[in-house]
Amino acid sequence: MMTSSEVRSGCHLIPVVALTLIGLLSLAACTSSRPPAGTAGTGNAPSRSGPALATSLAGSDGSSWAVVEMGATTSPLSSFWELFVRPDGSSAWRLATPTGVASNGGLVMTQSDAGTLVTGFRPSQDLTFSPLATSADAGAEWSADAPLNPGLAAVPNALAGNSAGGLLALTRTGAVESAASVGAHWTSLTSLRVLAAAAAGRACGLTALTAVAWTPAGAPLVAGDCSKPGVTGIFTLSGRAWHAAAPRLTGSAARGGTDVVALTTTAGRTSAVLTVGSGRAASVVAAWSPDGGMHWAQSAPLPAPALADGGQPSVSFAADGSAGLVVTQAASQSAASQVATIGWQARDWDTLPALPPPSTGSGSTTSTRVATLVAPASGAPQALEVDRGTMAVWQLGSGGWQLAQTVRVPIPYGSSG
Amino acid sequence: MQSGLSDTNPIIVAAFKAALLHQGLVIAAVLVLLALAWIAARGFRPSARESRGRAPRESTARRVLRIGFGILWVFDGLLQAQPAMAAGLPSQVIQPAAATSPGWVQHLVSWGANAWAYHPVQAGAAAVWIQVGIGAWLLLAPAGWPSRLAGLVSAGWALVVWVFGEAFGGIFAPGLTFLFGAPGAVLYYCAAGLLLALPEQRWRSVRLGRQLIGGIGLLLAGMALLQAWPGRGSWAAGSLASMVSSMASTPQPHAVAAIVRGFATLAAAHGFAVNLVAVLALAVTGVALLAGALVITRARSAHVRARLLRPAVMLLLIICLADWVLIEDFGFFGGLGTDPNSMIPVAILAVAGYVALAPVSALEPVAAPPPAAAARPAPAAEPAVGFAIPGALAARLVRTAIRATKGARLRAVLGLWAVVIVIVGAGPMALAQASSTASPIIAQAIAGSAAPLNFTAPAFSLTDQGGRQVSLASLRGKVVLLTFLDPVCTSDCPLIAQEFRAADQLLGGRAHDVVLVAIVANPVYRSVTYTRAFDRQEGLAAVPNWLFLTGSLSQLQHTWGSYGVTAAIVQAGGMAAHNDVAYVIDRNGHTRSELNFDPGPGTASSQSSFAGELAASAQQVLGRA
Repeated sequence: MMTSSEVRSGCHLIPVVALTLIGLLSLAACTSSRPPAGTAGTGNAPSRSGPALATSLAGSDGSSWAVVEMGATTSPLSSFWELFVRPDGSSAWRLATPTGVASNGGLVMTQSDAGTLVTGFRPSQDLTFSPLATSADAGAEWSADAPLNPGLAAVPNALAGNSAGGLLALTRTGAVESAASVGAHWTSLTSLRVLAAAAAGRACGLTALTAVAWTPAGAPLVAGDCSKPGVTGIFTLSGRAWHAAAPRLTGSAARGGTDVVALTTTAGRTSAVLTVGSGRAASVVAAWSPDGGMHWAQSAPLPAPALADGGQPSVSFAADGSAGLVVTQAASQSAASQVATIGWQARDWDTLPALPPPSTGSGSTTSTRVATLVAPASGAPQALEVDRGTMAVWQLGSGGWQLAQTVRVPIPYGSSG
Repeated sequence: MQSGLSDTNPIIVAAFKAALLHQGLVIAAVLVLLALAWIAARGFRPSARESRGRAPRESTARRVLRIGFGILWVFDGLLQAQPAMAAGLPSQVIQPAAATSPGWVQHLVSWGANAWAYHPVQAGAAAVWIQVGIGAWLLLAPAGWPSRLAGLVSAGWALVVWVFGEAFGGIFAPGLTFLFGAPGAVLYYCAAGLLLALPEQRWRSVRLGRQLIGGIGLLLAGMALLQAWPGRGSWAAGSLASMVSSMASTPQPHAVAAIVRGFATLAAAHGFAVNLVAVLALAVTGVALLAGALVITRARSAHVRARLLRPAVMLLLIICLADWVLIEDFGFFGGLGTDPNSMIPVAILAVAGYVALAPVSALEPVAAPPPAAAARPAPAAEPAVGFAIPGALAARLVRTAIRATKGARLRAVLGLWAVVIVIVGAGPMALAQASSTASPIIAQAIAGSAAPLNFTAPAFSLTDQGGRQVSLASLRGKVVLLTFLDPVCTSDCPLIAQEFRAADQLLGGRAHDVVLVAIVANPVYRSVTYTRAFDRQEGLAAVPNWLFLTGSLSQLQHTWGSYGVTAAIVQAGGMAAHNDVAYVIDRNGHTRSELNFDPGPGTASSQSSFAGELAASAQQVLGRA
């Protein structure tokens, strides 16, 4: 039983507790606020996204190849990567995806010896290695080749072939492997850990490997992301050691870390596309070397603020080393893609006009996103736009973009499990 | 192609209903036996003086709590008997409850969910009878140690449900809110059980009532603070509205859904105001209850109860009712509702606490048995006709049993029956847990039962992963478990391979009499390099009795046709499509059974079940040899 003094003190507690609680609640209510619109994704600038798998390449036989993502891309099992070919002498694209394996995880391609295209399927679900297939007749027939275990990295230049039939592969574990020819046994060449510990890797602050290629002389080239400003991570194997074989960036391009998003060697020319800087200052630089990385020329930076918001760059190269660039906005944004081209060793990028709105173009009702650019050595570029199971081919003319072709693909929804 | 295991899979639902029926019959039989024993014992009741005895006494507050939660447990048990519970509870209720909780909570909850998923029928039936039994026990044991034990068991089971079924009531997950049941509806059952386990004398003073009311007040005040805290999304228009809308979308009567949807619309349009009302209501009620508990004394009990606590409890009941209807949407719709959520238990606790603040004179005795027994004569020394059992020893045992039942109340017998319900419910599940293999009913529900056959298995001669020629004839003398796998498959085939591997392990010492054979089912990726890559991927390279066979396209096509297998190319990036089938071939080369080996959802329980089914089929054939 409580005493009278305890009762009194208990009574005094009531207003104190009540006022305290009301005060806290008022403070909480007054200081609560809904987050302002449009602030999603801002704050600390996110790191740059890796390159998009969507890309195209020019075959040495005059054909053009393109890899794009189709289907319901918001769901991994409903998204299928497709391969298209425009054979030499033809103006029409057709589906050429190798059959026999699910393409949900991504497709990577490279030209091997003349006229032979090698494709690799990235692992998905419970498949942990990459099946490979080759075609020597513009995709009419495919033959299965020895798999790559572990599977290919999620970058468009994870495979590189040379004119002698040799192959390089970048795996998803950061290893670089080589094979003397298609179907031959894969052997380990190097890895991210080894390169990052080497003198050249330490000089750049190597953090990831992003591309493989060959020099015109047949030496392997490996590229990656560097954390140190102004240093580009492109390395070549000379003897038994890896050496830097990269451009020294100048001007504003030298102010931030660099990522190599594309690297290739065609017709004796090595071409690279880099993203430099961070946040709203992110930009894209093209670089070229006629001698396997000993000397480089670089372009002016092309501002690409979309990179700061998770936009992914898709890079394509023509046979002469000219490049096409598409920076696709992140899924949460609604702005059109940034599209540009640059000629071999040119100084400035040519920004291309935006595609027409969907209703007047391909019949797409949801997307104005360009998946990738096809950059021919001569003639006007083509833009490939995808909406679920339809690919629209846009040709740039004097009057702007014109719809050149629509390809409908029977996406095998539900086939992957 | 994988098929899922539907919540209302007819095989599992039928087995669930059958289990409930069988256990129900056992429970009914036990009731009949207990009733007979009680009736017989009544015939030998001692003198009236002994039979009256001292009736236990129970306070009104305790009775409110006991009967309220007894009814709730029975209701919850009946909800557990919904058809979708056995197959659907782990994936649709248990695991989603932990989805936003930290990893260790998810790990703990997954363990429990897996235990259920491995034996869904036994687990589902156990949940029904345990909860019905606990509820009946509370209702039928009014006082004394049986009632206190019922409270303790209730608290223990509630704790198990709170951890494994409610993921700790979501207290470790973001977005905790009293409006949606935090800190977990079943935690209130646990609290009630612990209160019921207290000795009777604790209910005789206002102190327990003060503590109960004060605790509720503190909880409400804390929840009000949480609801008001900035940055948690409570003040945003969409957060409450989206949660309420999702409740409205569960299958339920249209009228109810319309009411809830209407409230969701209101919350969407005036989220700040709705939250403000909720915060103020919780805060005012919490402060009033807390204040009342602090100042109430025996002398001032009536005054404080009337002026402060009664309005506060009334307000709390209104809050509970409104929240239960408008936000929690009654809690039990949709086919997988396990309980009426938290507002009803809170209301019962509050009423019990309020009643417990009444003066001591409210303590009431439990109704004593009718005095009719006083009119009966003293029992005879020997059993009557119904117990004509020969033998002095048997007669002595009977006399001992009768003495033990002297003065037994009907309620005590029924309380015993309630305990039997709990045991009958828990027993089969406890026995099932002794096996590490999931119930075969899962595999049967996904892919049907094995078809018994007896014909000569079609011959084949193919190349194994080591480049050696292997024919079916070369495997004579061993039981062959045969299937068809795509080495670059991304879903089914890795699962099937693991099920074969697990079946081999289940065979134990008899595995050396069995060969696991897979034949390539992909017309493109069929070289030995791919079978080896698959073996490495699945950890089968070191399994000595594993063979992954391939050959030329024509050889494979011939073998596929012989075994009824199709392997077709799918354009545009699809996997090769093939049917999933397994055969059991005896030592003499005769096909003995065919199993549809669609691996289903590939969960741990389905994989274990398929492996068990395969091993059992092999054991059966081995046993015939």
